[in-house]
Amino acid sequence: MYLYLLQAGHYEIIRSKISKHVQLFISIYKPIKAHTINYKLLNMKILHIIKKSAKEQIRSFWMLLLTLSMGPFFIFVYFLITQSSERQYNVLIENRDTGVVVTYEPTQNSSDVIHKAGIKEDINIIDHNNDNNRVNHGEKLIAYANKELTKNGYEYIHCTQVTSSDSAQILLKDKKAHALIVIPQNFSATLYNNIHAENTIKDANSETKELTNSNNDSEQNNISNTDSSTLIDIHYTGDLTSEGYLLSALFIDDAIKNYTDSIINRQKIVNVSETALGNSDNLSEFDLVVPGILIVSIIMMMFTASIAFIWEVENKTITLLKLSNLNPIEYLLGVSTVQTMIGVVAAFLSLGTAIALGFSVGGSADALALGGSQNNISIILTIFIVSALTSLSIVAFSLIVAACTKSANEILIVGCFPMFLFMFFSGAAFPLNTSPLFSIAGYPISVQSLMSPTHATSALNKILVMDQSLINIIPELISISILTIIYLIIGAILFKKRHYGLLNNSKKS
Amino acid sequence: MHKIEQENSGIIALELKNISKHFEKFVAVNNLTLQVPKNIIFTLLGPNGAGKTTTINMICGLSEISEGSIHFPAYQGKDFKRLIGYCPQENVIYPKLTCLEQLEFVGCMHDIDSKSAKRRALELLEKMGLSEKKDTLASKLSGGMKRRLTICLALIHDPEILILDEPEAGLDPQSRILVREFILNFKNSKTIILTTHNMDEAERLSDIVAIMDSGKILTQGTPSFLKSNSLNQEYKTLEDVFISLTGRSLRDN
Repeated sequence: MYLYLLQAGHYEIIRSKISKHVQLFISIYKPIKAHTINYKLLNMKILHIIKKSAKEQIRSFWMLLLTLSMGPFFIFVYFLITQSSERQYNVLIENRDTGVVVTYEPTQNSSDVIHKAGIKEDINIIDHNNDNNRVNHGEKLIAYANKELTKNGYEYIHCTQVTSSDSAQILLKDKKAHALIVIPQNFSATLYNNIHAENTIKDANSETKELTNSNNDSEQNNISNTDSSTLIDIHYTGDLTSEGYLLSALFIDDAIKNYTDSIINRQKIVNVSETALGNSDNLSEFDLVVPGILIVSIIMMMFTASIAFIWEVENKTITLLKLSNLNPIEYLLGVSTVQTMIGVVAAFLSLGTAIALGFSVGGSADALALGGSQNNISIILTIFIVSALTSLSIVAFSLIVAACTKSANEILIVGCFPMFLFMFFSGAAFPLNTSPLFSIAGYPISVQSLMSPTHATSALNKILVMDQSLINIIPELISISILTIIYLIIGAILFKKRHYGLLNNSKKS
Repeated sequence: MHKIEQENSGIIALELKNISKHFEKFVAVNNLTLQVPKNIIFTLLGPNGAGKTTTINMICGLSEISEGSIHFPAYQGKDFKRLIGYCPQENVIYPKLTCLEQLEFVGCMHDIDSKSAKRRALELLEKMGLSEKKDTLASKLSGGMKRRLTICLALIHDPEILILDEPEAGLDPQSRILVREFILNFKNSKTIILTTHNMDEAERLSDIVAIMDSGKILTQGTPSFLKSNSLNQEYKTLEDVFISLTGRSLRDN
């Protein structure tokens, strides 16, 4: 452009344009230079803002108390929820089974099962013509289930025998039981037939060595016919939307399968084993929710942090600050520091409450030592880093909320939306399945990744549940830091524009 | 932090040249021009909605001017924020800080070191009769005390131009006399710009009174000049002048 103007001989225009550019440079450079020189004063002013803000917070005693007690309160609520969820599921069983007179010796396996159920003596007496030798597998199944579905002395599924479905339906509707299972009349008989069918198949199998290929089809038909005629029709009733019903049905289903398999001597072909990730085998449901609730306790301070920013605007004392030499960044950093400290205190109070209620810090003992010996201080330091970063990011987001409002009343209305969004969509309050859009260096990025609590919850879960170390949460820490910077920049620009602008009218002409 | 642009020096402290302020279609200040000499008490007198506070806000940089310009000829190259001390119409204080704490705090925000800020704060509290309340939370002060504290806050950094928006509003007679004497102490040492619709206040304090209505200056001069020469008639009080210029209609809107 300059070349074109030079060729055209517009020297005056070139001079004025250069002059404008120089002035623009000076206007940018001067404030930067002034800030560099006033570095000491800047720090001092931030200290004064921190001191003043801390005094105001302490003197707003009830507000501070409520803010700090919110996290422990949530921990307590979740403790009660998880405690009440570790309950006994009541299963009603209507046993219509008429039993069967046994005509066979129990196999070794079925004998083991019956022995396990404590009913061995009933089946060892065999008399083909005596009705006293009638075996009722329905009753044996109930006894077996009650014994089998007990862990460490705690009967998590309790089976109660009922005489009629009608009375059982009333109990189900009154939520006094979770499921009703009806054992059919032919339960024992069909089971007995199955034993014979199994034996027939076994015999047939031994004979197949002598059979030609052409006979295979007819043999298969025989087996399938036998299968369809020996089905046991067990009926389940319950509230299909209830978690209690689903769990009861699942466990009872498993118990029935195990019992029947053992009685008919069907060999297991799948053996399931499991390995606990981290310390998850030692963790209760309460232990699993604690990391998220620590983040919730920090999210909860979004209101108070926003109010701390808007206080000056509502009291109009911001006018005093605008007319002073206080830079908006200094003001925002000062207030943010105090609020971040409150966030960290809230998180640790929540952690303390959780520990008092039985939460065991089951995370990596080597959180910071990276292969060193057990060190709880390193875990605490890691929690401190995560909670401090998360607090700062929530404070930074609160700045955006404060920039969009004019009073504490408005914050209570407007602030609800982002707060609940952060609580429920970040996976902090409830676990949330996210579908990653893409990944950066193997770290999945989803829509929820725009919220810093998502990464914070993931980081604390890794530390407290998954037995991982500081190095494993570096992607989360980087994500929280980037989001915090973004929130801070947006918040500071909006806040300055909306509430901290001082116009240079003396230069206008 | 912006500096007053280099201009021709003179005894004019503040000069408003054809400034206007529009709020969409409503014109709050209409092509207003005035000059305020240095180290005098200048009063903007007008009914409610005359545009006094809007004018003050534009001088302080709290509100943008739609047209015109503002100059500070007597204060070349000085830091604007050090120059202006502003006491708003309503009490602007930190309710959760004590009187001394907030004066110290605001002083420090004006780049005054803590010790000097404390010394200055104690001086101001003494002069405003608030010494005994220095350690009392501002929220626990009476209305009059809060007003006096607000004035102290405007003065903590010892500004050269003191802008007081209705300083005597809500004060009892005793407090009013105290504040009036306090303001008069600065006569000839600071440029003081007052806004008020209290005739008595204007007459007792002001060197120059400008009567303003509907965003315009109707007349200006010393109180005695206004009483003797306004509208080619002689008036007994400033209120007579004011009513004859602004009329009797209510200004509720």
